[in-house]
Amino acid sequence: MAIIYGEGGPRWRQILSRKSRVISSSERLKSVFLKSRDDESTIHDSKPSAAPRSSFSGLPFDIALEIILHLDVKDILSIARVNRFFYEVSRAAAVWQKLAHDLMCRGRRLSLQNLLMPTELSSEQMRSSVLKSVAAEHNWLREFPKKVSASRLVKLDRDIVLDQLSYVMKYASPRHIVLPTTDGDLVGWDMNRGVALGRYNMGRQSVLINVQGHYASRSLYWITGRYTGFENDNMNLNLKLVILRVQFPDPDSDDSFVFEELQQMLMPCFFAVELHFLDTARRMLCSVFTPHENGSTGLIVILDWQTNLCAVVDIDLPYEYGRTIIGIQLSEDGEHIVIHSNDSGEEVCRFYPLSVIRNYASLWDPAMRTSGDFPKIFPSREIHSKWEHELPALAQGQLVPHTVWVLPQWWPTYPDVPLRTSTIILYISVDRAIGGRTRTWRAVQHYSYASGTAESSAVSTSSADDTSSSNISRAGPCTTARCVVEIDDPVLIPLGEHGLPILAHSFNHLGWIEEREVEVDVDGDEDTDTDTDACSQRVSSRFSSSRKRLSGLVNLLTLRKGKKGKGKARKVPRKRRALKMVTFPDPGVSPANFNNDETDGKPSTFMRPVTLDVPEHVLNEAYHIFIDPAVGTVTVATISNALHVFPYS
Amino acid sequence: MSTTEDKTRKVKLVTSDNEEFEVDWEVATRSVLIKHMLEDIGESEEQAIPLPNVTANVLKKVLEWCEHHRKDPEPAPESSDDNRKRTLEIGDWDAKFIQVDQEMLFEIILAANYLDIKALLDVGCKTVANMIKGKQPEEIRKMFNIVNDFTPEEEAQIKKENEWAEDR
Repeated sequence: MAIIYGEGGPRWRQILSRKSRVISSSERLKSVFLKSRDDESTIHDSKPSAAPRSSFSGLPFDIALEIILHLDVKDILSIARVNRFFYEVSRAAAVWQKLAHDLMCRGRRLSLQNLLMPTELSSEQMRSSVLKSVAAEHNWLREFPKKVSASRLVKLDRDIVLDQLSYVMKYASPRHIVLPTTDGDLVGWDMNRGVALGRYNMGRQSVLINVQGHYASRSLYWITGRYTGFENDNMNLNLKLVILRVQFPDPDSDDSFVFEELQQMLMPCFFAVELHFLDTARRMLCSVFTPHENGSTGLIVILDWQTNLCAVVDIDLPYEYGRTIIGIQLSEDGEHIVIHSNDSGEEVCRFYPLSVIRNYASLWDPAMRTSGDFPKIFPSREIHSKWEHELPALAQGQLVPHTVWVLPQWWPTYPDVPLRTSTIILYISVDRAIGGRTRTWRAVQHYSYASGTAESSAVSTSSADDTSSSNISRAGPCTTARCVVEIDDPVLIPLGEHGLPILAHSFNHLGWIEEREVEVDVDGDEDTDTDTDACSQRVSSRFSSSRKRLSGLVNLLTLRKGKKGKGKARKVPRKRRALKMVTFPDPGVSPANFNNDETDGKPSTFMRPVTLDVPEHVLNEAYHIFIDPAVGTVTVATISNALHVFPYS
Repeated sequence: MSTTEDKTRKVKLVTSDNEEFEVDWEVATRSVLIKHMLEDIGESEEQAIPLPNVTANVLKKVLEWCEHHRKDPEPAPESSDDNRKRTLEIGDWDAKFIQVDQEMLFEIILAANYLDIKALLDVGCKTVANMIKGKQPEEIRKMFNIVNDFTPEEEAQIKKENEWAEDR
C-alpha cells in the first residue's frame, strides 16, 4: 500500500505536532515556575526576542535547563547572575533536586527544614538546603575555614552537667538538641529560648550505646543501657537496655520533646559486646557477642523488639573488635543482614539471609547463657573488595582498635540514593619505651555500601577508577573507601588507662582539639598566664581525674612565672589549642585522588586536617564538640555550662 | 519490519532549504523523531521526510554524527533519565566533532533536540557546560554575547545571596 504524502500533509503535521507537544510541556513548567515571581511578564518578555535562536540565551528554556543540569553549584550561581533568563532557569526545581540528589549520593546530609522528607521540600527550600550544605563543605575544605558570622552562645541551666563520655549527642534540628547529663538525664533543650523542653531519666551510670535518626517522624531512636547485678560476677552482670524514641518538637512551635520508652530488655553483659540498630521502622536491632568456647562471632538478631522475637546464631567468623564488624546494615532489599569486615586489607562484605535467621527465631530469654551451641549460619553471598593500599600506618601491628563508631546514613531514604554506612575506627598505640609513654592516635574512616541485589554475581574489586562523584550510583555491588587520619596531640578526656580524645564526628567529618607546645614571644611584664591559669583550675576542679594531665600544664606555667621580670621580650613554651577537622573524601573516591600532597614526609594516604577559627579561650574550656554538616555548624560545649555554636555556612 | 531490510533501506530527508539527503535507515533512525515517522508511514515508503526546522549545513553535520554512531546501542529508556551520569566527559571523536563555531554549536543542539537524538544533545549540552565551567558572570556574557538585563539593585541582591561562592 503506497500512499503518497505531500510535504506538510496532514499526516506529517500530526507527527510533527507530537514533537512540539513535548516541548510545550517544559514550556508549561517554565510558566508555572514564573508565576511565583511578581514581575513575571517583564522577565518573560525580556528573553527571546533580542537573542537570535541559535545563540545561548536564545535557547528554549528546557535546553538551557539541560545545559545547567551539567553544572555544579558554583557555576550555577555564576550563570544565574548573567541575565534574567538564566536566573530563572537556574532556579528551576529540577536543578536543585538534581544537586540535592548528588549531595545525598555523596553521603552529605541536607538540612531539611522542619525535618520534612526531601520530596516534600519546595524548590526554594531545596535550594537553600543545598546551598547551606555546599557552603559548609566548601568552607571546611579550606586550609583555614572561617566562620561566616559571629558565634552563638547558648547558656545552659546550672544543673545540666553534660556527660563527657556521651558521644552520641546529635542535632536533629538547628533549634533543638538533646543533652545527656552526668545525672543520667536526657534534656531536651530549646536553643532559641534557652529553656529545657522535657527531660528523661535513664538512671545514673547509664550509657548511650547507639543512635539512629528517623526523619519522617522527627525522631531519634536510642539504645541506652545500665548495668545491673553484681559487678564482680561477670556471669551475672546484666545490661538493662532501653530502646527509647525521642521525638523532636516542630521547630516552629514551643512544644516539648516526647520521650517514649519503646521496650526494655535485660541482657547478660557478655551478650552485648556491640549493639547496632538494623532498622528502626521494622524494630530490628542486633547484638554481637563471642560464644565462649570457640571465640567466633555470635549475633543476637532482635527481629522485632515489640514482640521480643529474636534469633541467636553463630556466623562462624573469628571475632576481633574493630575488624570483624566495621559496618552492619540491612541490604537494600531488606532481606539480608550485611556485615562488613576488615580482613587483611580487604573489605569482605557478607550477606546473611533473614529467611535463614528467622528459622531460629524464638522469644528472647534473659536467662540464656552462652554455654550452649548456637546454630551456625553462612553468608549467601560474599564480596571481596580491595582497598587501594594496605596502609603501612595500620600494618605496624601495635595499633589496636580503641573505639568503633558505625554511622548509618540517617537522612531519609531517597529514590536512587544508595544505602551506606560510614565507620570510624579509632586506633591507639602506646609506646612505653621512649621517654615514658607516648600515645599515637589514628582514626580510619570506611564507607560501606549495601547492594540491593544480594544474588548478583558481579564482583567489584576496586573503586580506583571512580574519580567522579557522579559515578558512584550502582557502580558496583560494594564500593569501598577508607582513609586514615593521624590525630596528633589530642586533648584527652579521662577514660580507662589511655583516655579518649575529645572527638566530634559526622558521616563525613572528624574533628578534635589539638594541644601543642609552641614558643611564644612574651614581654617581660606582660602577664599572659591569667586566662589559661584560671581556666585550667576550673577544668581541673570539675574533672578531678584529668588533673594529672593538667598538672603538667600548671607546672609549666609556674616555671614560666619564675623567669619573669627580666624586662625583655623572650620566647617561652606554651600550650596552644586548635580545633582540627578533616572532611572524608566522597564515597567511591580514593583518598589518593583526594589529597596528593605530601607534607611533613607523611605518606599522602593521611588526610590533612584543617584548622578552624574557633577561639582558643573557648577551646581551653571545651569538653565536648560536635559537628552538624547539614546546617554547617560546629558546637563546643564548655565547662561553664555554655554551648558555643560556630556557623560555617 | 525486519532487520535485514533495515540494513539496506535508504531514507530520504529534505531540509528547510529544500536540500535532499539520502541516508541509510540505520543512520537516519538515530533520530527518534525520524524513527517514529518511519514507523508511522510503514516500510514501503519511498517518500522524502521533511525536516522544516533544520537547514542543510546543520543536517549535514548531524548526519556525520549519526553515521559515526550508527552502531551504538539503543539509548537507555526514558525512565533511567534521572540516573544518567551527568559527567562532563565527552568521547574523543565527539569532542573533535563538536569543535565548531558557536552558531553551529547551538544549531546542532537545537537540531538534536528537534530530531530527538539524546546522545548528540548531550554532547552539545556538555560542550556548552564545559565552556561555562569556572567562569565569572561577566566572562560568560562576553563569551556568548549576552546582554546583562538586570537592574543594578537586582544584581546586587543576587550577588549577596551567593556571597560564600565569591572568594574561591
